[in-house]
Amino acid sequence: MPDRVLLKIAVPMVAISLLLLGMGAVAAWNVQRQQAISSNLIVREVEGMLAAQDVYIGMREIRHQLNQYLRNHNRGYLDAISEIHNSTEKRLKEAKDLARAPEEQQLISVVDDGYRRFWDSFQQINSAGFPDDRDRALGVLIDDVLTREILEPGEQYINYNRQVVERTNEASRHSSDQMRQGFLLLGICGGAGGLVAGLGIARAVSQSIVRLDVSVRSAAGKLNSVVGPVTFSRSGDFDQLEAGLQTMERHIAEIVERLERSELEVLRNEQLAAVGQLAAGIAHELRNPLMPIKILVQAALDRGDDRGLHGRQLEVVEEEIEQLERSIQMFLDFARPRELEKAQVDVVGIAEQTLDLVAGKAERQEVTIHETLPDEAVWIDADSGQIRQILLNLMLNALEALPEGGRIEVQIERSESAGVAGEGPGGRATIRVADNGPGLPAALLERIFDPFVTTKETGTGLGLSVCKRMTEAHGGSIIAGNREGGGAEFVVTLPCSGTNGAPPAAGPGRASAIAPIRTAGGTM
Amino acid sequence: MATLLVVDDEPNIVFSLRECLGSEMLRVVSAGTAREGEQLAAKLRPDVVLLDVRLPDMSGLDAFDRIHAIDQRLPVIMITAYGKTETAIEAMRRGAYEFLLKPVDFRQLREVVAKALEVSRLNRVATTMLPPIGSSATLPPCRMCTRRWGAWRRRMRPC
Repeated sequence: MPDRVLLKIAVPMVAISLLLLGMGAVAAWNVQRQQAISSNLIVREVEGMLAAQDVYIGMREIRHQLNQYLRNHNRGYLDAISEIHNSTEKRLKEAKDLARAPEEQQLISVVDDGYRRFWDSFQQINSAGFPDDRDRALGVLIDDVLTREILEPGEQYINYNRQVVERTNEASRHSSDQMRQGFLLLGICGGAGGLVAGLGIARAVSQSIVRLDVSVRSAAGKLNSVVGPVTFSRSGDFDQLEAGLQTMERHIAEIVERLERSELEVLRNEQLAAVGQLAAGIAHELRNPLMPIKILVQAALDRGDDRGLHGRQLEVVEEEIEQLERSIQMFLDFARPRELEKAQVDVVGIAEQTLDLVAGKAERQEVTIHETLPDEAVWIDADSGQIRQILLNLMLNALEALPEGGRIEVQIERSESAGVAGEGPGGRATIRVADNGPGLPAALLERIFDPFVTTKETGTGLGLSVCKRMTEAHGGSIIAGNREGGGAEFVVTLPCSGTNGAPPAAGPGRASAIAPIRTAGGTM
Repeated sequence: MATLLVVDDEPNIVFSLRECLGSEMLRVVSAGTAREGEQLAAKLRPDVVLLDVRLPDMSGLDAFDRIHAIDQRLPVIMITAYGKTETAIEAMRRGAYEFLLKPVDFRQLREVVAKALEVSRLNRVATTMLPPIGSSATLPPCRMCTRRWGAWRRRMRPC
C-alpha cells in the first residue's frame, strides 16, 4: 500500500520534472546556438567592415598625397603613396578574404579592379618624364579612377557591411525576443504543470486519506461493540486521522489484552477439562474392575460360611486385579514415561504371550483370534514390557470393539532391510492387529492417537496415546485405519536388530527373553 | 420365578451378579449390548432390569428410553462408574427406579433389587386386577401376596 501511494505521487512529479528539464535543456542549447551564430556573424561583418574602412582610409590618404603633390610638386608625396600602397594592398586582400556575400564580393572586386588600374596608371605616370603631362594625367586619375572606381564602390561596400551588421543585430534582437517568449512560455508551462501535478497529488492523497478514514471509521464502528464508542469529528484531515488511529491503537491494545486473558482462561479451562476427563476416565477404569471383586467378596462375607471364593470366582477376582494394575500402569506411563530397559527380545514370543493373556476374554466374548506368526523368532532391541503393553492395548481395544463376538487377526512378519526410514540392521517387523467390528469413526481417525480421544463413551483416551509414544520411543511407528470390509486395523512397525537370521544359539534365547512375561500370565 | 435382566458389557460383572443374586427364586439373564437388552426385555418380560450407563452400542439414557418404552412400569436400576450427577438426575427424571454407582455395595444392591422386584410384582398384580384405571403404586398389597413375597425374601440367600 505505501509503495502504491508513493508511485501515485512520484510518477507525475518525475514526469513533469523530466519534461521541464528537457524543455530547459533544449531552450538553453538553442540560446547558446543562436548566440554563437550571431556573434560569429557580427565578428565577421565587423572585421570585413574594418578592413573595408582601412582600405577606404588608405585610398583617401593616397588621394590626399596626390592632391598635395599637385599643389606643391614635391616628389616626396608620390614616394609616400608607394608606402601607403603596401599596407592598402594588404588590407584589400584581407577585405577580399572576408567578403562572403555575393554583393560584397562584387563590390570588393570592383574596388580591387579599380585599384589595380589606378596603381598601374600611377606607376606609368610616375615614370613619365614631363611634369605637366604628369599633373594632368594624375588629375584625371584622381577624378576618374580613384574617386569613381575606388572610393565610391568602397563607400558602398562599407555601407553594405553596416547594413549587414544592423540586420544581424536586428536578427539577434528578434532571436532574443523569441528566447524571452520561449522562456516565458516554459515558465508558464512549468508552473501550470507543477500546479496541475500538485493538485492531482493533493487530490490523490486526500482521496487516500478519505478512504483510510472510512476504513478507520468502519474499524472504529466494529470496536464500538467491544470497547465502547470511538469518536471522529472530521474526515480527510491528517491530524484527526492520526488522533483517531491513536485512539484505535489504545482500544486494540485493550482488546489484545482481553484476548490474551481469555486465551489463558480458555487454556486453563481446557486443562481443567482434560484433568476432569482424566479423572472420569480413571474413575471408570478403576471402579469397573472393582465391582465384581466387591460383589463377590461382600456376598461371600454375607454368606457367613467358610467356603470363601472358589473356582471361576477367584479367576474373576484375579483378572480384575490385573486389569486394575494395567490401568494404574497406563496412567503412570502417560503421566511419566518409563525409561526403556532394552534387551534382545523376540516379538513373536511376546505376541504369543499376549495372545495367551487375552484368550480367555476372547473365548467368553465369542471372538476368534486368527494368528499368522512366523515360525522363527523376530528379534528386536526393545523393552519387552512396553512391547507387551502395546500389543495388549491393541488386542484389548479390538476385543472391546467386538462385544457380541467377531474375529481378530494378529499378523507378524519381518521384512529385510530395503533402505527406508524406520528400519534396523535386520529390516523391520510389522505387527498387524485387525478386527471386524464397527471400525474407527472418520471424525476421530486423524487424532485417534491424541490423548483423551476415545471411541468409547467412558474410555480414558490414553491407551493409544501411550502406545504411540512407546512405539516411537523404540524408533518405530504406528498407524490406524479402517479395513475395506469393515473394522479397524492397527499396524505397528519396529526396527529389527542384526541378530535376525543368525543361528538361534547366537542370539539370546526366546524363553529367557520373555520368561518374566510367561510367569505373569501363567495362570491364564 | 422372577427374572432379573442385567445389561452390561463386562462379562465379569455379569458373572458376579449372576453368582450372587441368582437363585431358585430369581433367574439372572444378561445382555452385552443395549440392542440385545432391548430384545430380551421385549421377549422375556423381566421383573427388574439392571442397566449399565456405558454400553458399546448406545448411551445408557438412550438404552433406558428404549427399554422403558417396552414397559413403563418395569423398574430399571441404572449403574454407572461415573459419578456424574447430571446423568443420574436425568435418568431419575425419565423414570428410572434407582441410580447406583460402581462399585456397587452388594448389600445395598440386594436391597434395591428386592424392593424393585416387589414394586414390579405389585405393578403386575394391580395390572391384573384393575388394568385400565389408576396407579398401581397406590394400591395396598394383599395379604397373601405380602406373605409370599416375605417368604421369597427370606429364601433369597446370597450365593
